[in-house]
Amino acid sequence: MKVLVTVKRVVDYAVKVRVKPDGSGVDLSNTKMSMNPFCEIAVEEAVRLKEAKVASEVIVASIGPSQSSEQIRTALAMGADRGIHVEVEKELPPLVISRALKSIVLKEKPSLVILGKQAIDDDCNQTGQMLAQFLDWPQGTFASKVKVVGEKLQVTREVDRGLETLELRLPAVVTCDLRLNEPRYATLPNIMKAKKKPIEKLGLKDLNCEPSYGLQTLSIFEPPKRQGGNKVESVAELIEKLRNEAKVI
Amino acid sequence: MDYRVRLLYKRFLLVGRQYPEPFGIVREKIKRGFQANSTNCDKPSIERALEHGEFVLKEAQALVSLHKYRTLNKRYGRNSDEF
Repeated sequence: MKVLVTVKRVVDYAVKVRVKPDGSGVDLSNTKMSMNPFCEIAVEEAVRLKEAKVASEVIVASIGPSQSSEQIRTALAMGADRGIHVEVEKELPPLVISRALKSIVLKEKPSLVILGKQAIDDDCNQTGQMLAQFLDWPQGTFASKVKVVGEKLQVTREVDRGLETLELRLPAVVTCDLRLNEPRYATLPNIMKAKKKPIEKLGLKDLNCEPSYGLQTLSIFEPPKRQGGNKVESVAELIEKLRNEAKVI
Repeated sequence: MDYRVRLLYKRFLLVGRQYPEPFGIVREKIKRGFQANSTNCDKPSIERALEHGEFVLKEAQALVSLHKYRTLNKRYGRNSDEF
């Protein structure tokens, strides 16, 4: 069974992002970039499936700028077998990404596609769902447990009321939630070995995909700063303030 | 220098890059920790220091993943208010 995992290069989770003064976007100069944490969880799950001898090959795909190959190398160091890097210059909306991923899936024919549930930069949470729709495959989103039983896949999902277990026929699309597993650290020897693993470079044209922008970002601004509270002396003052200042009673 | 010491130092640097503090500060700390043991030349004390190093490295790795998990859980967990 082949497994395809997707990774995205995003601003590191620990970095406090700054908005550009003209509001055109986020200042990315000298910003630490890393693999999206949910994609890390996806890679770990695929590698665990391979170690359990359920998966035969783990392929990592990334669509992004040329530096995205660093994140593919990280995934290869974690235990994936080979990479596919689709080079694009601008950040693309999830619709285009899922179309490009569909072409990759049709080319590689994996039995399972594992994605992170969302990227921590744009928080779209759309790519996995759209990909499943384009492929007409069953989908298990927000997975907190994945188990392969014969030709089927049991996915436990975190939903509002608790845990829900779905049984999907393969091939299927799975998107990971935070508690699926704990991603491992790449060891030094594995990092060296990952440098020799193959990464196939593609363009969007090779995947018969056009970069269309259905969405346009109008402006980006920081959320308003929280204003400090103040103390009141008496109940009467509190009621007076609630009535006249806050106007809630 | 024992090759295992050099390897341990490299592994520390690797984890240090993901540590929640700026890498420059973390690297200084790592360096000081290694230099503090630079006078230990007999075999048993090297072994002891290596064992301690492994322990500290594991602790640092656990701290990095816990910090990451807690931050993400705060942002995207069930009780987060950002969603």
